[in-house]
Amino acid sequence: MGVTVLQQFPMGENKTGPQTIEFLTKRVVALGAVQCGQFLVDCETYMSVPALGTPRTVHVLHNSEQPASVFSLLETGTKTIPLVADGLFDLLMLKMTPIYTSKKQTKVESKGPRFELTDFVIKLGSVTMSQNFKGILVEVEYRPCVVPANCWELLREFLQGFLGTCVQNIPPQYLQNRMNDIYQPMDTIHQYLDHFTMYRKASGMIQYQ
Amino acid sequence: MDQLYRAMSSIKILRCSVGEVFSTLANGLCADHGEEGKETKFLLEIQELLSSATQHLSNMAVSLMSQNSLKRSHTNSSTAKRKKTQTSSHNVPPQTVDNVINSIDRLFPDLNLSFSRPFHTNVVLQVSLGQVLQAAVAFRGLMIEWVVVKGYGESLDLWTESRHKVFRKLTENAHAAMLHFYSPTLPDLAVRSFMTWIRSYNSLFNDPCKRCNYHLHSGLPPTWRDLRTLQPYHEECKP
Amino acid sequence: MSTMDVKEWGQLSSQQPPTAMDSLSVALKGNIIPNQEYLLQGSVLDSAVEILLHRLRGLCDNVDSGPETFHDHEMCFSIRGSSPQPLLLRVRRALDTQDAPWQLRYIGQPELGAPDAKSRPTIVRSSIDIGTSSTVVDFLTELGCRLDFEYIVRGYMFCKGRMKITVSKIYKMGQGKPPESLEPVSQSYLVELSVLAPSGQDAIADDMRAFADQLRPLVILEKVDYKRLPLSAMP
Repeated sequence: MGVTVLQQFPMGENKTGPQTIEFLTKRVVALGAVQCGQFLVDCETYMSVPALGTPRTVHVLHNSEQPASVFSLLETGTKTIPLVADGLFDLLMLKMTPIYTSKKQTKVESKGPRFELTDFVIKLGSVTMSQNFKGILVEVEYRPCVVPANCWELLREFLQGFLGTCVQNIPPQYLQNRMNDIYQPMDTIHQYLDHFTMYRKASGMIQYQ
Repeated sequence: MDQLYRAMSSIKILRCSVGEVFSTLANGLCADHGEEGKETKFLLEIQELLSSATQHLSNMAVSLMSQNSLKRSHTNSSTAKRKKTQTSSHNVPPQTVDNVINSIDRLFPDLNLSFSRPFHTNVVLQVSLGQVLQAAVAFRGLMIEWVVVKGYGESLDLWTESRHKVFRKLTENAHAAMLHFYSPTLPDLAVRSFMTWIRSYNSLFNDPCKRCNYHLHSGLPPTWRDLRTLQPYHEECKP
Repeated sequence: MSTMDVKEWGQLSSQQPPTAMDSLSVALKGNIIPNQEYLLQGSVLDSAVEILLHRLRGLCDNVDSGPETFHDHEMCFSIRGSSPQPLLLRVRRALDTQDAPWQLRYIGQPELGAPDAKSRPTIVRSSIDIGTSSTVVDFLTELGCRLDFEYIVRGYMFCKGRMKITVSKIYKMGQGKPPESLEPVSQSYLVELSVLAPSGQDAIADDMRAFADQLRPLVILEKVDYKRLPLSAMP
């Protein structure tokens, strides 16, 4: 997996979610991208029962780009522990329901069309939480490069090229401490969780400042 | 007059050896090759004839191409002496190849070289440049015959191409560079120059194009490195 | 929920990828997930193990380089929520290979209460095997699991069709001792015959029984009722 960044795209005043996706699709296709299917990233969150003591949260995420894996992030308040497991991990979480219960109404997804352009993969995601639309989240992966420090400028040039000024000149917060590490699929999951958490906290749709 | 005579006799020698190759191939296996291991003997024969033909060709090419530059001492030596003492880039002892590769390895700390000999005496070199790219280089003696460039993390072998367009482009460019740096008379310099050129790709994703100042053109970073200055250029921005 | 979203947002493109939970439900309904373990256990003294290995080599699927060996470290965790019954989880990692995934295993209580349980030829219990990254021990610890015990296990593995037969020796944890000087727990080898299959394939149990009979009298493989083990045998 190559270095991947996520970018929230602010919607215009009088545009709906699908209209914005259509607008971005036109731009991406004009650059020469070809649509290759759809993508889906979802997140379900489980909270520990009071009998267990200090409250802990387990986030379980799936990414259609790695269909045989289940990603999990355990938050204890002081630290976050990642776990990558195969598909049956979901079955184990079902068995754990007496100890970790899921708040179904906070299940978040980002899904939409997936495009390929030379060595880039572009995903235009509509974020929904329990069928409520929350915003547009764009994912761009540059496959040949695995070290963020090497290709951040290249990615920024690409992102600013079709998303405009909403793209900041500095890398995303999550990547800033990991610029020289080898990029892993779990890094993409961390970034999705950061954005999903933001969407969950916001009462309505995110208005970009 | 003298030079013309020499050129014509070189051509005659070359035509002879090439002719031998063709006639041996046309005749195929015959009684001379005996019963046991005849295919191996036949292949060895063809291999020897081909390498001597290539040697004659390269010697001639070098002498022809160096005609217009400063006179070098070797064009004045006799043909007999040339055949025996000229450094051939093919028939170099394995130790020499090892030494050249090790010296280049020491020269560039970010370029990691490791080699193996899966084809008897000829080396296959595995190059790893930081966490940017890797390359497999096949040698015949000290002469580079084939290069494949792939990304970090891809499986490295001589036969499959990279799944990324940028590295497929680099493979094409590496072949052009390989031919440019080819020198049968100074083979270790050729290898060193080629490796220096490859090493300039450690900035493949970082540096923008020297001409247009952008990182991307048609979705690709600057995939060309100037053969003299090592500056990065897009394919379309090449001087 | 996902079908409603497809109608709302799906105009631009083709099929939505199924959610992981959807795929899992379909797989569960189709009964293709191997989540039941059929098990028979027995033991042989150290002095008798060579003959058993020889017999197994003859009966089982052929492997040119000899029987496969393994050297693992197993840890057993439990987690208690509000219910009295703890949930048991085991983590196993290979000590003889680098970079192999770790194995997380959920083992349910054996079905001893079922009406026809006594007549069943083997133990049947729910079992979920999950490959994981090496962060699993930290993950379980922070999840609230407690490490109950751990041990080293070394032995041989044989296969016959779907059946897996292991002949292994259990050792106490090293505390920094080199592998060769680890202390074994007993002077015998544990022999286990197991099959992982989707539920409802009870014919397997009969095949296992038939195979186990071929190993008599070298080793007696049978159902072990854990509740009837003498307390002094517990760690």
